[in-house]
Amino acid sequence: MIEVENLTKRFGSTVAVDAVSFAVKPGEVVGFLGPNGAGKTTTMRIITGLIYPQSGTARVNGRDIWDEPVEVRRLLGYLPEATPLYDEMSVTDFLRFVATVRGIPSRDIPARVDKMIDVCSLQTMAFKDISELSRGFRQRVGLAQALIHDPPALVLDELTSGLDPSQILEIRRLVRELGKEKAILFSTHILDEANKTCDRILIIDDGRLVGEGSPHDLAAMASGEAVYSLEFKGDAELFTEKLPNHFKVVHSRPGAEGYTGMELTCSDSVDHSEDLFDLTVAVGGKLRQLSRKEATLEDVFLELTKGGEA
Amino acid sequence: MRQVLAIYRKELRLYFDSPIAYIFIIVFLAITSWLFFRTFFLIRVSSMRSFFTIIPWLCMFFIPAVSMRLWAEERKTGSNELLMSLPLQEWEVVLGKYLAALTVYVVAIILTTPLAIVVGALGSPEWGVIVGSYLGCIFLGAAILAIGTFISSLTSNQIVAFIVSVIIVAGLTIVGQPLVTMFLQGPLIVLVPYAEWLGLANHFSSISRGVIDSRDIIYYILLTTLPLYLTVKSIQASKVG
Amino acid sequence: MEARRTYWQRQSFEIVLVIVLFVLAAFVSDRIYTRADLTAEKVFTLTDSTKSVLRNIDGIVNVQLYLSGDLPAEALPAAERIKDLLYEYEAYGGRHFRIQIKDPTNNPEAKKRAEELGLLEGQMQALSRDELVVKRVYMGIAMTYRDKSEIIPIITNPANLEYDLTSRIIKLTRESIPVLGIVDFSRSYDIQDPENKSRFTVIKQALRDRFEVQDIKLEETLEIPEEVKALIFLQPMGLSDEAKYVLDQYLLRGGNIFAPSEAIMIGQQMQAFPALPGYETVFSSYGLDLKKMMVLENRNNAMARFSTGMMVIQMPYPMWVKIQPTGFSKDFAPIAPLDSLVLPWSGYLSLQKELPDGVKATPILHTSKDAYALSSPFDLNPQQDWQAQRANSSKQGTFVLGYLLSGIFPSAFPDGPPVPDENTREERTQLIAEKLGSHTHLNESSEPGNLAVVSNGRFLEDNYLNDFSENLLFVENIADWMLENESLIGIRSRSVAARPFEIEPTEPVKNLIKFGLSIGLPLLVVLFGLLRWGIRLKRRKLIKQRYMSGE
Repeated sequence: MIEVENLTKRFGSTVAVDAVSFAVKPGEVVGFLGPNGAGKTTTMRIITGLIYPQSGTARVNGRDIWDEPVEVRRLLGYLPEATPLYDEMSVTDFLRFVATVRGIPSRDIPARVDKMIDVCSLQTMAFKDISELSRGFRQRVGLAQALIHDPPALVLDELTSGLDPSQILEIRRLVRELGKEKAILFSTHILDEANKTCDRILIIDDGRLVGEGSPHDLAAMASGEAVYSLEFKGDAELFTEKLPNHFKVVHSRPGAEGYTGMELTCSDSVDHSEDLFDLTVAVGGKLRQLSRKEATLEDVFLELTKGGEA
Repeated sequence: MRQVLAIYRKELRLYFDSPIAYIFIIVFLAITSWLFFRTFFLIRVSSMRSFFTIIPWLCMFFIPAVSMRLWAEERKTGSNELLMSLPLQEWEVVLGKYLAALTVYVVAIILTTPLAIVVGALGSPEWGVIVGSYLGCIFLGAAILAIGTFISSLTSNQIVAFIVSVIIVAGLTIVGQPLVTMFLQGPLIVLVPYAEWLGLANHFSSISRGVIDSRDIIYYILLTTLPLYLTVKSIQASKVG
Repeated sequence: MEARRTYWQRQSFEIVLVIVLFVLAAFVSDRIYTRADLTAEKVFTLTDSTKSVLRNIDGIVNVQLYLSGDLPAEALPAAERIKDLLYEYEAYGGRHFRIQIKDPTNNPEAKKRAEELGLLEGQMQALSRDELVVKRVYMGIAMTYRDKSEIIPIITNPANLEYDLTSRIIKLTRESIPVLGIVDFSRSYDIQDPENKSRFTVIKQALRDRFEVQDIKLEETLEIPEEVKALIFLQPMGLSDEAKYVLDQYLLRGGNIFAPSEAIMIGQQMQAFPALPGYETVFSSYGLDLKKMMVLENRNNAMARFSTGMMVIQMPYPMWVKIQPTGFSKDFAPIAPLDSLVLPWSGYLSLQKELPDGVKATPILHTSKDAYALSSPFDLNPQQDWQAQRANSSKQGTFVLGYLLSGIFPSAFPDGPPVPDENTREERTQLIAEKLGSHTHLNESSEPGNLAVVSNGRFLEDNYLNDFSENLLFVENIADWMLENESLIGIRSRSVAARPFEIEPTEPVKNLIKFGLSIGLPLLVVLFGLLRWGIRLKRRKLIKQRYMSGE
């Protein structure tokens, strides 16, 4: 449904998006994950035709943003970052305006507006001016305007920012519901959210796509990577020599009292702590400490985005 | 067209739901009628000429005040982000917004017709001239408004949009006047006819005395459509970069 | 990269194309245009002849309007009108007609220049602080073209400005100077005069000063030279048939003739009788008759001087018809602005029931509606009982004393050139054969011509011109027009309809209007705003009810 091909966008000398390609299929919720300033918003703005890339292109339902920008926008529902709306308009007037511009036939407009008010739980706010709404309700109005024409594809930028926890849960449920039939691309910088909402996650950093996979894949990737840290006394060389293949020594440093501090990674997801004990005994050494730590999605994310260095 | 109409109605709503349009119209009416009645009962001629001669000079300040917010405000609040994500051609947005601002101006002009009624009640004025002059006012305003719209599309600061528009419109107003053309001496004298053609006020003088010239009308049409076209292009260019 | 580059290529191509189209549209619109005049009197609609004159200017006519800045209020509409008309000229003349407005009031240089050019400083009364003061103002035009210049020293009435401007542009821009022919048949009354001088020396000198003049001895030469554009007759009585034929054919070849035609002859002893036949025998074939009755004007008579041996008395004299300002036709611009003309002992003109096809007749001079006509015998006595005469008169009303015939004329000689009778001398017969045969006979005009007739010839004689100098102006204007008539035809004098208040509101009413509108109109807008606000609030409530009640 949404295809992005080799997208590059520069603002002056800074590269905001660098050769990014991906696709979002119908019935798929794709989380666009990355730190602030990674290029998520730029990519989404390109997809909606708000700006154009230096090279590469994006397509929605096979329509190219260069050739049929209006058609692309017709197929999309877009929630901009920070939800800029017309503050002077009332909620219903605003939704009615969007519905008209979206080409919904006049006689269907009241019904659609009612539906959106219902879906986004805006009943108590419908009569108010947008300027009177809280952050959470603004976000819902933004979502309502993105959904009002029942688009096959949704692009939601920072959907949950500024919402309180219960609202976030509610919105996530809504997105998952919608994602059953629509292609949804939504950006977030919150890992947990991507983890809990998406079918697939794209990790972007510094304009480049650095990781891709389902939360499960990524989690598996993480669970496969266990880190063992231990303090060993004895023949350290022999110990490392005898280590099974799935272990890798990250570093070993001689510590106090003749102990060597070691860090090992293991590509296997099974807990091998006992094996390490056995091996220690086998080489005639002593263990003072052994701990196993499974890498989380967060570690993957930090690793991929080099956020850990900061 | 439905899209244009939707944008038009939205913009018009924003004008009339906020104090801008009211302030504009009230100040415009107060100034025009005050200036008009200052001399009307002294000269005692049933003509609106004195009224129409001040219009170009008033438009110079008033219309940029209407047009300044058209784009600048949307850029500032970011709502153009939302607007441009709607399935609209750029020209539909430009046209809708422009027509809404034009409506505010036309309403202000129409609200001055009681002056014409007073003139008609006290004597028998040349109605043809008055109707023609009103038409001229609208053409003139349409052109100035288009220029203001274009300037507004280039900046996100309303004050900058206003000041730049006033400067450009003032320049265009006086460029054809003797005030400027008298400095075109020597080899520059060949520029005089071009400067005169360009002058906004020059094309208003015929209309204000009751003569409609196709050249003036075409001038105003060109001066309306070109800035609007450039507005569309400037918006496209800002997207493509 | 590709998509972006093609996008910009397409865009720049489009932008260039659009800008070229705009420039082209601007250019074309400047060449091909039309103007619609919305004024009731069509005061700004220039005559086609003016437009064509403006279109054909080769080079630049520079026009300087000297207009004092501190004009009294009454002069403002006129000044406005002058400027408007000049701009209208500019609109058609484009870059060939350039206007400068100069204010000599505080500009000694401009004042000096105005004086050098010969512009006049007019005097106008103005109300200043409830005191009448005389203001000296400039309101004149100087026009230059190459090394030539023309001026309108002071514009007293802008109604005739189009004629004044256009005729001057023609004079400035014409390549060759047209020739005015004068045919003088007169002889001095004074038989003792050895040279038997003309009675028309003043007018001839005046015309020579202004125009390129050629004296034509019609009876001797029987020819009117090709270059003569217009012809003035003086006292054409007792014309030979051959001379009449030459005049007829001249008119039919597109000539212009001004023929003051005497209707009443005055003898040495002040006895009056209908004039001998003259040129009127020719123009009666064109549909116009000279009536040899005496026209008397019942009002605003000219003052006539009579010497009674002992002294000179001056008294109003109805037999000297004085044309009033309203007596000059507004449809004939050259004389429209005149305000006086004295025709001593005049007949009148009347059109035949049916004019020949192609001839258009315009009355150019007429009396007031209280005039009357007397038949022969005429009593010239200035002290007779005019009222009784008027009561006896068979004809009363308005009389036309001048006509302009123009268009396609039928020949007064439908049977061809007159054949000289047997008694004619040899040389004369030869001359007739040679001159009358030199052109093919025309039975109908080959080109439109103009014939202006006044039912009086005497008014141009020296002694009347000395007393009534306006008579000279009349002839000069007609001659002017005839020499340039193709370019000046149709220019009317258009008076400015000043449109003062018809109702004078009282002071309280004025204030009511003034403040009512200045404050009331904005208040109305505020009211509308409040109304809208109210509607919004109400709507808000409705929506609130609608969605909240469902909960």
